[in-house]
Amino acid sequence: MAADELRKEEGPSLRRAVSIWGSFSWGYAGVGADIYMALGLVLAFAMGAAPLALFITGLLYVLIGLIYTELASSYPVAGGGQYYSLRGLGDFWGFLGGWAFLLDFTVDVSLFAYASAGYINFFFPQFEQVKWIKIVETLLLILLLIVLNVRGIRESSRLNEVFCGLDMFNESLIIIIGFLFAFKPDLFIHQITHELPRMGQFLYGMTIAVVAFVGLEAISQAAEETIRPASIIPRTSLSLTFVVLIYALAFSVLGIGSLGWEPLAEHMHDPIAYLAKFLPLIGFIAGPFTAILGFTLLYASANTGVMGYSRISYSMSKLQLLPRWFSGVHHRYRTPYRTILFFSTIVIIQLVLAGLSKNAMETLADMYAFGALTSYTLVCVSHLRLRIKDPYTPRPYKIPGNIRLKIQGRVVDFPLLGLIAIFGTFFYLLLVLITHYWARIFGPAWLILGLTIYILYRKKNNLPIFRSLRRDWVNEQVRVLKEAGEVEALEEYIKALEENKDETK
Amino acid sequence: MIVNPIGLLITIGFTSLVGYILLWMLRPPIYVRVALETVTKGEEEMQGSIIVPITGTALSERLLEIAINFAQRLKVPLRFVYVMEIPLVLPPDAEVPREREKGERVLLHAQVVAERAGVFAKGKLIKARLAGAGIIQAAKEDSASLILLLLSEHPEREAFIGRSVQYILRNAPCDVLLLRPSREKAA
Repeated sequence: MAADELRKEEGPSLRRAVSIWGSFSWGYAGVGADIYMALGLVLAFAMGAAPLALFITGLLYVLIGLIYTELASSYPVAGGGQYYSLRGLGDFWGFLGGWAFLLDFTVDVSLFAYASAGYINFFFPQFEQVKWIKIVETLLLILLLIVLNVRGIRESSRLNEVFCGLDMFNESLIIIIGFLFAFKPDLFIHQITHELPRMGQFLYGMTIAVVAFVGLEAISQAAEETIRPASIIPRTSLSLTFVVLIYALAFSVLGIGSLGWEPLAEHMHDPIAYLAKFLPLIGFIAGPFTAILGFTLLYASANTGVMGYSRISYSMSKLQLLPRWFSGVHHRYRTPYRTILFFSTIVIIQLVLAGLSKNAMETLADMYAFGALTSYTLVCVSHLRLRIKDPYTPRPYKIPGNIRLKIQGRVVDFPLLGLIAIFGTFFYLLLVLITHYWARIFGPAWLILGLTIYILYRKKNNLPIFRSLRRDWVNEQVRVLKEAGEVEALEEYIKALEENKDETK
Repeated sequence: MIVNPIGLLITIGFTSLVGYILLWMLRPPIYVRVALETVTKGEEEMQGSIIVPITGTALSERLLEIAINFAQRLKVPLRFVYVMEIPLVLPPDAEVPREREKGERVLLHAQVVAERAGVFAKGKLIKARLAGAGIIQAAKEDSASLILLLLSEHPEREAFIGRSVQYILRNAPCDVLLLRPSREKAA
């Protein structure tokens, strides 16, 4: 194709090779593994009300999923949430959004590596009894990830696709066999009527349920590599959002209706494998197989964390939001080794500190929920702001529930559901701060650390702190649409700009 | 082993819901499927294609329409060719950024139109001294089955065979179909 030929001449650019299943699998790699880690945690706190906690949190997750679908199909670039925050809210909030994502990605690595060690321990249950053995196991897994990423590995889209298919098949099989032969309606009714948590515990469970749905970023991160993003992303992103919700609800209902919440909460480190082990007919093979699959998926998810923080911090450095030091590339391996080493050190510190707490997994999940909700809140606000600030960019998918308003002299489709999502994420963030001890201390501390780095860097380089640098978003959007081959959207965009020339000057 | 009726109902609900979502996702409109083919299929798939020279004019739009019609019936891929004519005063590999930009835009437009019609097509930008030579080069590279040409019209409304068309008729390695646009449609 001509555009491809051109790109080759102009220099390196992300190749558009991610297809429908590929795009879905990228997203699934980010969010699909969450249930392997989250089920036990949610059951431990929400008990018999776990399906309700997952359902309520799931509603918020669906709203965020719809917002991501709109943003990723309208702005198909690799930056994801950090890019939307920067574009919608400017440099200061763009930095804060990116910094919150960095917290999320670092905790993602420690939490998912820790959870994947839990699935290894399905075969060595004695290791699970000694906390520091598991910490050492996790540390080794993290060190391996660091070495692999500094030397440079490419996450293979094909491998993602295979694992996604394999996992969906396995999860579906567990759910189908489980509901057909192991589900006890009486036990389920008993659990949801008699095994209920106190209100405080339930609210805590609801906020922990957030970790079952973190990782929506992945589809938008791969948007720049997706073929015809405007047509494909709405399909893959919406499907992913609902499929993940269905699986999470199905597992929680099956879990309490077949074993009860307690045994699964006790097996917080490998709940899905434990559930699979007790299935009639296939349990003897499904248990170990699920443990292996669980380990692989969680470890791959931890790897997306390393890739996530190295990419985001590198790009933030290029955008003059972080010191130039972070954009250093290894002379031999051509990888952003400084960002990998810097943030991996933070990952290790997080792991060791979590190891000092009573329940390392819960502590890490606390931080994960805080990071996710901070960044999601900023993405939701950016979505609203972009609707007002940039109404001319064609939106192949718009979240439902819009009213037409005239704001700042422009006709804007004001998203009511988007507004609800902002309140929802903010409410959850407040809940996390109120109910989560570690998140209350380390969450704001992380943001303060980031802001200190940002202010010192911007001051030293005579750059504005609260104001934004001049960025040519119009030409950037033209480039993005052109590279995506979205000619119709490009023509629509140029036409809208010409019609509103006076405003866009 | 007894199947639980409530469990059976949940299973049916679960499988139909997940199945429906996945089918909806994997069965996109025809143009998306063709767009995917365009990227995933290699150049070897273009063997035996129909060569369609395009320029971005109204006449070229008409040729595009006819070519898509042909491709739908014959089930062969289309190769859109935009030739960047390099003036003799410049070296043969000289850069012509404006022409390149126009060519890229025209090719992408043609590709989208073809995709919408469910036709597999790829575009090619070629540098040549004469448009006809560029088209012949593309036909040879693809082992094309046909070159489709539309005659331009003389101001006195007579079909006009230009220099490039004459060159193609003399040197084409495959069949050449020369069409005269319908006056009503052109109007």
